[in-house]
Amino acid sequence: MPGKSPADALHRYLEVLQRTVSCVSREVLKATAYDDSRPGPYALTLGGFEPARLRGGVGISLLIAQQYTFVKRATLSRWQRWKVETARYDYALHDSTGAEIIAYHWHPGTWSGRPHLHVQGYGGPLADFMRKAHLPSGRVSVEEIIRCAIEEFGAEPLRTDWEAVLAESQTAFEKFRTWPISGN
Amino acid sequence: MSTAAAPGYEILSRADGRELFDRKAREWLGISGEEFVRRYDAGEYDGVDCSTKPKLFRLLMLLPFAR
Repeated sequence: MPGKSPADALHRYLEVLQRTVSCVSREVLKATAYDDSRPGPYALTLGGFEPARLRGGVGISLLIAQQYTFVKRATLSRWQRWKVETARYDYALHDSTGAEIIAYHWHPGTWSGRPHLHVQGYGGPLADFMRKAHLPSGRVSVEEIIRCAIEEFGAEPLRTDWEAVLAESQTAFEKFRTWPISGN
Repeated sequence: MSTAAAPGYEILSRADGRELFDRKAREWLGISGEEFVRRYDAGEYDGVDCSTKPKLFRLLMLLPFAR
């Protein structure tokens, strides 16, 4: 969500993201404050660095962690001049014991910098490979991981309008993102 | 279930962010947040693989809270 200043852009971004999260959790997003004395990146997390337990279904938990930066876009109107841009992400679902089931990562500039997926729980002869494998993925949104939690793992929606909320915020995400599929 | 407004988010002060980070660094690695930052700046966590050290990776992701 663009804004007229970095702080304004951050508030708009967090407002939309918190509304998205409210489809399945009452946990609060915690973010680092904009400060022009530090260049970033900044970070946010749902709750206190731990996966947030979701109601219903098979008792899964949701982890959201992001790093973000502020980008100035001089060509746009002053009301849209600043944008929060995702710099790295870690979105994961954990089972009722706290063990990770799946995790979508993107952390450019480090080992395995392309967007990828980790899948846990495979018990066959390639278990060690699977535990460490970085399976290629496109860029994943918070909206998509929440929809997955509801539709695939039976997490209970906490809002009657959850489908509309996810669709609306997904549309905004796709409108303002700067890279859609893969990145380094 | 409702369409009620979402709960408010929190933008943490630097002190609160550092405190949160410090608590998790102590719990997961047995070191202070300050020591974690020192080791990071010294390059001790360069090349960490996100698949083999998930809690260390999570702290690296949330390092800006400690800055």
